[in-house]
Amino acid sequence: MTLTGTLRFRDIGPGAWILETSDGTVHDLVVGEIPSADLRRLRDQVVHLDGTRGGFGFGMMGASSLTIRTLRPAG
Amino acid sequence: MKRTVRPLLPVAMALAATGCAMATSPTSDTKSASNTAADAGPWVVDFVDGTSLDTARTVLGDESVDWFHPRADDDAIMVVDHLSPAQRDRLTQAPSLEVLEPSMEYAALGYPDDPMRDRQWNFDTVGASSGWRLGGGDGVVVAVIDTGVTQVPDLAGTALLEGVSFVRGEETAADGNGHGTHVAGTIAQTTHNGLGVAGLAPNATILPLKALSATGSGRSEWVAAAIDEAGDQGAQIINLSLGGPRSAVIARAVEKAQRRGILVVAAAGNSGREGVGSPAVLPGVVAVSATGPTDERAPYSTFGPEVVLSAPGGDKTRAGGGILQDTVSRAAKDGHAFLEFQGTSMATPHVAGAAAVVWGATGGGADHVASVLTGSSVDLGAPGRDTIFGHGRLDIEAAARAVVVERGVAFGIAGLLAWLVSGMVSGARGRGRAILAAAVTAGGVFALPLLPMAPAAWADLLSRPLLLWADPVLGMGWSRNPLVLSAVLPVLSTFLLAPSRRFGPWVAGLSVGIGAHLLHGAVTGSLAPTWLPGILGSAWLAAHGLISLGAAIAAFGVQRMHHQSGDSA
Repeated sequence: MTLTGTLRFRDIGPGAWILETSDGTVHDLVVGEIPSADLRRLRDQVVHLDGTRGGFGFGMMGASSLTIRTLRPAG
Repeated sequence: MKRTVRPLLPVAMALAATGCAMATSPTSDTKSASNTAADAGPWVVDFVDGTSLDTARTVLGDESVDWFHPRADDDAIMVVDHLSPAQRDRLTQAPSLEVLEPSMEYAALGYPDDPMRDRQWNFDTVGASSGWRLGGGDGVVVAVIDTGVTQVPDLAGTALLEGVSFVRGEETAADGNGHGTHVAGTIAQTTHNGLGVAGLAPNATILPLKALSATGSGRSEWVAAAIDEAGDQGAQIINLSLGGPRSAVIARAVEKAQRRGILVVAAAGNSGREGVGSPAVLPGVVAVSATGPTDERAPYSTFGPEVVLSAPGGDKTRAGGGILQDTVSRAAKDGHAFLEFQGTSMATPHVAGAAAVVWGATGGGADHVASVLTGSSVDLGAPGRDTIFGHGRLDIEAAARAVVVERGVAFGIAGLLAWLVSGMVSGARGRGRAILAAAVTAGGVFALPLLPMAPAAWADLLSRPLLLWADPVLGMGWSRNPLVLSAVLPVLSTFLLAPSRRFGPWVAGLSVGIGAHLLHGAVTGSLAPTWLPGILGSAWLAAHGLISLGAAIAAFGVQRMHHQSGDSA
């Protein structure tokens, strides 16, 4: 599935990433193989995210979790 | 007063009365405080006895200062936060001044000596020291289902079982993230090792089960398999500082674990909104929300009607407000660091650690431990159970008091039972000895953990009911062995020693004590024999409790017969 939203970092545990969509929905992100430098570069920016639903983690901030396949800046 | 530190001795002695005391900052024993420390406050200003408050205020040039305590006026001692150079000059020249020195912090000597312990505000909040005096979770296995656990330097003295990884591509249970090791540290960080920080249940054993990868994520089947493994390896408590979508396979695993008598503790979530996540939301799971340093709801903490308890999870918007433990760190040169984390992930192991303490001190089982923890929690927010704090904020000090009271009640009931049972056998001898033996067998020297002393293995042993000596004496898990939780000892000792004039009454008392403890365990669920879940366990305990009382009656009878035959002879 593909979603568009703002990529944010939250200081939970050792740190966790979330995607906040325009309707306020929060998704916990499983970063998988995405380099942390890419994540840091896109922090607080609107991004297009392609990922798969599901997964467990310690973030526990969102209604669901997404494992990221690809990530790119919107627009 | 002479110009020495003697006037401060009563203060130091009062502090020392709560345990041996030691200073943890430099001292100065005359009015000539060093210039290098001139800016370090607060300062203790000790005037000549009888100096009036007006005089002291005039010397300091500050009308707002007062004696540091209403009863310190005789000794004329005050504490001021800061001294300007002008104030210091006036003080050192004033004939009414006796001592000027920096205020020193005193701490209980000896335990624990972990140098960063004073940064663990969360341990003060929950009353961790009471747990250390109550055995520190000795004999209890806590499964940490997380990103794995690495034996960092401040876990070097902690008992870790060989872990298992259920994460595809990560063969060992070593922690590649830092989350799981931090969680394990809150539960059982090596304590009193002169290094770093402390743990709540340092004598508990950690079973590392990796279900989250180095990226902090995992699959439902990994989590479910880890929960099953915890049961297979004999864990009494499972810590789940994780969450995700509702999963039937996890729900079934949790249910199975609960049927096996395991206490499952899980994080409520970090959404900052209502809606407890899974698996915390599952029935029977102790869902934990998070509090900050002033007992407020941590801003990120999820809440909802399923919250059972709250515990410190940290609030890093405040300086030093996180939860500090030793954990793996890729950024650190030697691979580990003492890091502050926050989250309901951090609150959850507080409850798991406290549960280990109570389990170790009482013999469990899951419902009984949960009941002790909820019943002793500090009621915050709306009166009674609420959606934010559940029953309340974890309070180990109160839980320890509840355990001591429980042991005291057992002490009294067993003594009374021994009096009644011995009364059933007319002419029974040695009733006083039997009553004493019964009481101590069932309740131990129950008040020992309340004494303000450093934790000691001998004190823990003496304060325990006899049946709970099994773990520290025989090894982990023995206190749940059905043979230990049985009438074997009363029957054998009656058979061998009841005819003895010297030992007979003690044997009768011991049998009553064990019988009382087994019956109490059957009724309250406070004893949880392995392999005999639920009603089977209760029936086993009740049957053996009654057999033990029968053995006691037999022992009294044998004593009477021997005395009668001795009298007639």
